[in-house]
Amino acid sequence: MKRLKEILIPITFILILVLPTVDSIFHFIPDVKNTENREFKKQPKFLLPLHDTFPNSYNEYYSDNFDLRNQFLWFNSKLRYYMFNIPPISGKAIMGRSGWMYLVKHEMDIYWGNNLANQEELNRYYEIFKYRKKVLDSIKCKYYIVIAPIKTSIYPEYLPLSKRKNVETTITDQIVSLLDTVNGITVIDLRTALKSAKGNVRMFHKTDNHWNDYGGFVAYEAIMNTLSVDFPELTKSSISDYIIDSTIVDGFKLTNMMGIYDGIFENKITCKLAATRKSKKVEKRKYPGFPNFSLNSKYELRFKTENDSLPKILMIRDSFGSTLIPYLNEHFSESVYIFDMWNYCLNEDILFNEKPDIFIQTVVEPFISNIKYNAKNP
Amino acid sequence: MVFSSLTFLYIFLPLVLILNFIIQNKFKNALLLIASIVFYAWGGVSYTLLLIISIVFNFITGKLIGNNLGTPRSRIYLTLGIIINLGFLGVFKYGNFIIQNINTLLESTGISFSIEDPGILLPIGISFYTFQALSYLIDVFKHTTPVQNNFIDLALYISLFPQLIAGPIVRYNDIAEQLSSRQNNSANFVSGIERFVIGLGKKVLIANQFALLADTAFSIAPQNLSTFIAWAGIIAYSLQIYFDFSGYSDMAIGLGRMFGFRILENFNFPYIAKSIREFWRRWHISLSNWFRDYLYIPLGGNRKGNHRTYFNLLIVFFITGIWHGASWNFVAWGMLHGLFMIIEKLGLDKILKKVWKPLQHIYTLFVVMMAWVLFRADDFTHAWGYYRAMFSNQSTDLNLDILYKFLNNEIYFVLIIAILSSTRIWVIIYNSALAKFSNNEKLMNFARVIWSFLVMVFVIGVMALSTNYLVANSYNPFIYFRF
Repeated sequence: MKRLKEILIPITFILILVLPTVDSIFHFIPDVKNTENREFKKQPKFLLPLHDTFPNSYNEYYSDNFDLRNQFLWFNSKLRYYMFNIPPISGKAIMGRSGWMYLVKHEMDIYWGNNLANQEELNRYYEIFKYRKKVLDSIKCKYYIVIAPIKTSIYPEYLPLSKRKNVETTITDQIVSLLDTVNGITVIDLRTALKSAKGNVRMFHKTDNHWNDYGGFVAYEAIMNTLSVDFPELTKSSISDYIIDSTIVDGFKLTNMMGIYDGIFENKITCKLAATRKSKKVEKRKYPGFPNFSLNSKYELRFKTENDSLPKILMIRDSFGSTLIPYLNEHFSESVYIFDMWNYCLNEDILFNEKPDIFIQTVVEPFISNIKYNAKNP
Repeated sequence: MVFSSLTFLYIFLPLVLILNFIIQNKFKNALLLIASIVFYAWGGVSYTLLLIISIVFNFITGKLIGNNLGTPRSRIYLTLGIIINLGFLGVFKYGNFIIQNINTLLESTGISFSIEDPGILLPIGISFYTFQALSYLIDVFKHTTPVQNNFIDLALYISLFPQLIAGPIVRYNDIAEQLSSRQNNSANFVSGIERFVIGLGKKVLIANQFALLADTAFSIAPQNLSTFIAWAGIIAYSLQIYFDFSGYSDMAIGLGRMFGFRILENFNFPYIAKSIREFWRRWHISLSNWFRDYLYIPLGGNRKGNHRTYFNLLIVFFITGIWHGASWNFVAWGMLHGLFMIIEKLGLDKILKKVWKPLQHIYTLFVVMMAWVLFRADDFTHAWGYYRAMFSNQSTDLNLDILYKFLNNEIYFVLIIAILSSTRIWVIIYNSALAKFSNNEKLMNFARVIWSFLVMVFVIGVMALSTNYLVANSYNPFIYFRF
C-alpha cells in the first residue's frame, strides 16, 4: 500500500508540472476563448546590456503566454463567482443580492456621500447656471435640468449590507438645492419619480448601471409632466400605449466588468410602442463632435414629426438619455439630441443654430461635477 | 526566481527534477550547483558575481583554517573570514543606511558636510548565504566538522537553491554529510512533494490573499485609516508574514527532500506560543539557533549572571532586528521582543503560567502583533500613526471602499483556514485518526489507500488552485526576499 502512494504521487506531480509544456506542443486540452482585451508580452531577447531585466521580462512573457492561461482564467471566474459569490475581477462592480450588480467607479462615491462640493465650488456652479440661464433667456428658450439617478439612489436595498450607508447629503442634493435658488431654471430630479414608481416592474437593469425601458418611461413621464406646465399643448403617452415585454438575455456589461463571461442572465424588460411612430429620424446637420469620442456617431441625433406647431427641443444628453429618446420624439416638432462626451456644456454654437423652445440638460448623478465653466464652450 | 512563479513551477522545477532523476549520482551535485546559480541569477544576474566571489573566498578561507587547525593562524584566518563576510554584508546591506545616519548626525551637529548616497542595491538573500558561509568557517574552526576539499560541494552548500534566498539557514554541520552521500529515494521524494505543495498553498492561497489587505491598510495615511481597517490590516499582516515565510520554508524543505537533502524545520506553530520566549523557540528556528550558537553562547549566554544575560539578550535581539533590514524600525522590532524576553525572565513568565491559558495566548499574540506594526511600517512616524489608528476609534466610514474590496466570502474562508492552520488542529486530527485505525490491520490498509488518494487529490487541488491564482493575480510578493 505504501508502494501505491510512492508511485502515484510522484507520477501525478510530474504530470502536473509538464502538462502545460506538453499541451503547448500537442494541444490536446480544449481551448477556452481569450477574454483579455490587451496586448500580451512578447518573448524578450537576451541582450548583455539588458541582462538584469531579462528574467523579469521572461517571467511576464511566460505568464502572459502560459499554455493553460485561458482555461485557468475561466476556472477562476467560475470558482470565485459560484463558490464565494464574489466577482473574479474585484473593485469594478459590486455583487449585490438577488442577482443585482452595481458599478463602483463614480457611482459608489456618490452613494457614500463622498466628493461633496465645497462652498467655493457651489458658488462657481451658481455662476455657471446663472450665465446659462441668461443665454437661454436671450433666445427665449426654457431651461430644464434633468437629474438622472444612479442605481444605488433607487435600489440601495439590493446592495450587500456592508456596502450600505445612509448619508444625509450627496453632491446631487447640493446641486438640486443650489438650482432651486437660480430663478427660471426648472430642475427635474428624477430620483423622486423613480422612487415613488417602485413596484412590480423593475426600472433598472440588474447587470448594467442604466435604467431599462420601463425606468426610462417613468423618467419620460416625469419630464413631460413638468414640461406640460410651461407648454400646455404637449401631450404625453400612457404606459398602456406600450407593450411591456421581457426576454432572457446574457448578462450586460457589469458581468463582463467582473470577469464573469457566461452563465449570468438578465430578464430584459422592454417597452415597445403599440401604435405606429409619429417621429422619423432625419438627416443630421453634421456638427463636428469630438474626434476621439467612441460614440461620435451618436453625437448628434435628430427626429421630426409632422406637427410643426409643437415646440422644438434640444437635449444635451448622456447614456441615460438614450432610453428617453424614443419616448420624447413623439411629442415635439423637432428633437435634437447632443451627446457631448459628458461635458454637459451649453454648446452655444449648436444652441444658436437650432434655436429650440426647450433646452434640456440631462445629467447623471456621478457626472454632475463635470459641469464646469469652459471658455470655449460655456 | 521565486518558487511561486509559473516559470519556476512549470519550466525550472520539472527540468531540474527530470535531469536529477536521469543523471548519475556523481554528477548530481554539479547539476544542482548549475541549477542553483541559474535560479539565483534569475533574481538578479549581476548579483551572481557576488555570490560566486563569496563561495570562492569561503572555500579558500575554510581551507586555510582547516590546514592550520590548532595553531594561532587558524584563529587569524577565521577572524579575517568573519570580518570580510560581515564586511560584504555591511557594505551591500547596510552601506546606504550607515551613510544616511552619518549624514543625519552631521546635519544635527551643524556640520555642513554630507556623504553622497551610494545607492547600493541589496543583493537577494545575502543575509542568508553569508550566515551559512560563517557557519561553515566557524564549524571548521571549532573542529565540529572537517574542512570541505571539494569546491563543488562547498559551492552547493552555500548556494543550494531551495534555501538560498530565504532560508532556512542551514548550518554546515547539519548538512555536510548529505553533500557527499544522501538518500534519493521515493519515500523522500513523496514527502518532499507533500511538503512543497503545502508550502505553495500556504504562500499562494493564504499569504497572498492577506497581502493585498495588509498592503492597502499600510498604504493609507494613518489619519485616514479607520480603527477597524487598522486592526484588520495588522491581523492580515500577521497571517501574511507567517504563511509567507513558513510556506517558503516548507517549499524549501520539500524541495530539499525531493533532491535527497534533510533541511531542518524552521517553524513550529509560532502563533500558539504562550510567551515571547516560546514564540522564539517556534519562529524562524534556524535563525534563532544560529544566533544562539554563534552569538548568544559565545557572549556568555546565561552563564555570567542575570545582568549579563539581559545584556546578551538585548545584543542578540538588536542584531536580529538589524539582520532583517537596514532600518531603525527593524531594530525597534527586535528590541521590543528582547525587552519582553527580559520582562518575562524578570518574573512575568511565572505570573503568566498562573493565569488562564487563553490569556497567555492573547498576551503573546498582542505583543507579537504590536511588534509587527514596527516591522511593517515605513518609519517610526508611520508606526506611531498606525498605533493611534488602532486605539483611537476612527470611524469605519473612512475606508468603506476597502471594506467593500477586501471583506468578502473568500477572505472569510481563507481566514478560517489560516486560523485553523496556525494551530496544531490538522496534526491532532491526523494523529487521532491514525491511533483509531492502528489496532486493526485491515482497516489500516484501507485507510492508507484512502489517504494516498486524498494526498493525490490534495496535490492536484493545491497545484491547480495555486496555478489558478498565479495566473489570475499578478500579486505575488515574498516578504523574506529583502533580507
